[in-house]
Amino acid sequence: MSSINRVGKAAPDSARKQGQMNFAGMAKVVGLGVFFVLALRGCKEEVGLYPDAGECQRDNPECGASCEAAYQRALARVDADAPRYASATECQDDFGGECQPLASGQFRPPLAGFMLPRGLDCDDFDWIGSSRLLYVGQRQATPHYQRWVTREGANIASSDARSARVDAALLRDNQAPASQLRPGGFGRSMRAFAQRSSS
Amino acid sequence: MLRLPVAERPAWRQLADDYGFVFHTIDGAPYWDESACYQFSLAQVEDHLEAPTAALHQLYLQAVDWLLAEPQWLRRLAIDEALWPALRRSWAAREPSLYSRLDLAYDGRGPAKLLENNADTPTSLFETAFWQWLWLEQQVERGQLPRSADQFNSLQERLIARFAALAAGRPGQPCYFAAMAGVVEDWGTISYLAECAKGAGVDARLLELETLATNADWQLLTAEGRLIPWLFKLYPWEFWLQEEGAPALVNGHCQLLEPLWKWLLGNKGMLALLWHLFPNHPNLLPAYLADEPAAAGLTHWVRKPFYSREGANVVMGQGQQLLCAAAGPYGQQPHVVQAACPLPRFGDNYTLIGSWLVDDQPAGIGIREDNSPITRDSARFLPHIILG
Repeated sequence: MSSINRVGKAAPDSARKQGQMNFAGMAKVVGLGVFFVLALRGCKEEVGLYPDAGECQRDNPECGASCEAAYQRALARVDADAPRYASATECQDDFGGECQPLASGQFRPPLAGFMLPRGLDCDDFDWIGSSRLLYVGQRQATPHYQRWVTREGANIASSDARSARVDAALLRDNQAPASQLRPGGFGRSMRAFAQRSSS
Repeated sequence: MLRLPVAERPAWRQLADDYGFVFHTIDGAPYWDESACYQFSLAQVEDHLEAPTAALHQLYLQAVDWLLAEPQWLRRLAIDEALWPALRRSWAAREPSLYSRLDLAYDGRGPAKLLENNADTPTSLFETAFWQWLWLEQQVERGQLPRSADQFNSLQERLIARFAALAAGRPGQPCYFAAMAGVVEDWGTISYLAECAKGAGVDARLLELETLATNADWQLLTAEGRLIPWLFKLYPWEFWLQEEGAPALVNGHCQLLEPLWKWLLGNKGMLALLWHLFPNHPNLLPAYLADEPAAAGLTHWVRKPFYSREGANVVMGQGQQLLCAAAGPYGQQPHVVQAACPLPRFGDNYTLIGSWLVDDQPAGIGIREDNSPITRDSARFLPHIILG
């Protein structure tokens, strides 16, 4: 639609219309479809592999704060993210190293680092949100030995590597683990009451 | 303040449909009605509507501040004690709000009287902010209205500016807009708000309220598990707080619009508190909680549940006699009793003024007409102009 310019009398402190508001782009705003645009990624995506915020920042010099945020996020999420074992022995059988006890009485491997997609705008909240936690096996003769792996056991690269190409599907971890997601139950009480929420 | 017949734009229904304003006619009855408009003088707008709107909003803010320190009044307003800490946190942090609509009784002479405050989930936004302005522009172009005709309406500009200000503190973070699935008018409102947010550079996304999820940390997530840092919800707090995921709403993980403290403003018990704190204010009507003895002393009165919407369960009476009552599902709540202030009548129409605020500032008006003295969801929306 063509733009519509407002013609109201200009009076800076008044609540009346103040001219020249551009309505272009405001057309058809009440379309009722849900217009999510899902980011389509290629099959493989280049990622950075970082043991800490400092290495992330060396690779992404403009992104110091975002690297720190991604690292802090990893530290905060490791208890929820990491693979869980019923005993320390089982955990060490898979990962070796210093397995950590969880409040549940289970054990998990230590956090080894995190991965982030490369070449994206690091000011984008989604960039940090798409980081994945990584673990490194310390036990010889296991598939994880000196490899970066995700909690699902996806084998990314040698733990010396600082970048890799991975299936884009692996970069979907602002998905909470499905087992921890639960419906909010929102909308039920109003539904039982009335046709609409507004007033 | 006049009600003037105006020739309708010939193809406005088609234009409305093209814009997605599909609820212009509801169940065969007009909702948008441009067979007439209301005309105000600039002095009426500035002195009788704009200034009192700003003043009333400030009274509410003072009253909230006072209320949160008064356990006795919090109980009288039926605010669950378990929510007091979260409410106090929300208010102490002055969690930012977006918008409100005050409903006013005004007959052109003043002073306007406050009937209620829709501070949590106000609607009729698109038709106020955008559609009535488009009507004015096109009627001026068609020569039906003089070029000097103006409108009390800076709603859209102020919403965009407000989103820009809010987004400055959340660079790059998406803002989600949620309403109940399938509710056409509510989706119209959030779609419009999302467009305003996009106009401010915000990554705005819509979702169905029922799909919201929580996790073990009581964070709010989309059904796909994406964290929601920032959410506009067109859903009343009093329902929202009763639902399973409620802990995720009050722990500060997610910035909500409207914020929790704003819920207090919409509680109609606040009308009694305002009268208690600011008795005889020119824009307030005497009001008491239903259990206060003074409530029985009002000769002409209107009784309202604390949280009814669209006039539901509102009862008007004189002494012991009921004059008029609107049906609804909200009757089980505590009530407030307010002195009756009849809406002005223009022909067979009872006229109500909805006066909007964005970021604490007056932002425009929308007018509703009903055939009943209680304005219900069937009330028609009419445009207005400022002339003279």
